[in-house]
Amino acid sequence: MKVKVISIPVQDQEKALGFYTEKLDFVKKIDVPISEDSRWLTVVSKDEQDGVEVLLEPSPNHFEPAKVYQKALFDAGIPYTQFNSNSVQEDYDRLVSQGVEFSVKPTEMGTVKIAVFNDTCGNNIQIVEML
Amino acid sequence: MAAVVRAGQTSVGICRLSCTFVFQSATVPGGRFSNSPTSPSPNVSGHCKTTYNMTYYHKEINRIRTECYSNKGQLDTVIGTRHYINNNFDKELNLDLLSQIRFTSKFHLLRLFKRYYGQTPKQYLTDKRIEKGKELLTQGTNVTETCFDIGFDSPSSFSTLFKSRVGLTPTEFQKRATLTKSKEI
Repeated sequence: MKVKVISIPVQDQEKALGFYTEKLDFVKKIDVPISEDSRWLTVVSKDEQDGVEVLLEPSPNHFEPAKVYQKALFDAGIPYTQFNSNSVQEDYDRLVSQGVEFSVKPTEMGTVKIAVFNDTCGNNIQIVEML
Repeated sequence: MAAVVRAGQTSVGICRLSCTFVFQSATVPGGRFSNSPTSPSPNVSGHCKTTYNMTYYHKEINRIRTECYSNKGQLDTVIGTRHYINNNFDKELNLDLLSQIRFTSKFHLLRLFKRYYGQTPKQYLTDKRIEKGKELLTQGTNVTETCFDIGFDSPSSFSTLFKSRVGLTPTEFQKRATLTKSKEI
């Protein structure tokens, strides 16, 4: 078995696509309609377009426990997942200039530096840089 | 920003926290779910301070920083060792050399590196070499040249290790990488 897809729950797929492509510079990979209000929508890192796909999944809209879980993590400030960054400070400066809100500014944590931002679709996302 | 699959899919918040930072242990505090701006939250030294609008996760970050990452000397040692490996992965490296560079005993370095990175310097070096090997093969460098460029002694040992890690021999990997590139064109 191989890991090819990770999933992030989003409240609005179109909004999520906009955020992940325009702010985070990801690239849309797969976009297949499934029903009237949902699609199989994945994005990949521009630097690893054959790498792991991020599925922007509208689960909070269709499955109450997913909605509850997402909100609980978000309210606690806990990131749903994390992405690697070559420079957390540079990504932080760039994203802040684009209006992205951070709950944790660049912070050194031992051997890594982290920051946590709001993806505007119900999640906190952490970025991490190896020091 | 490279998307990476890290352990972010667990069902318990603090397990997610500990896995996210890739360190050995994180204890779950009892009942500290207060995010109220007026409720005091004790820090590790025992003095209470009010945390305004700080999320539960942020408080945990502060706690873990103090409990697990307060020894700057140790951190400098392991981070410096990792950087040295990153810049010299193509050379012959061993624990004796790495410990001499950091002016520490090799047993101490081994313990520290494992503690902070979850793997030994040798395991990290091997990962680094395989990662670089994949880059070179993707760029079109032949298998033998790749093998020596990344610090392996023999193509056979390189191929065996590469296959065990990647699931493909270096040749198969290179063919697949070339095919993928040509599809993109």
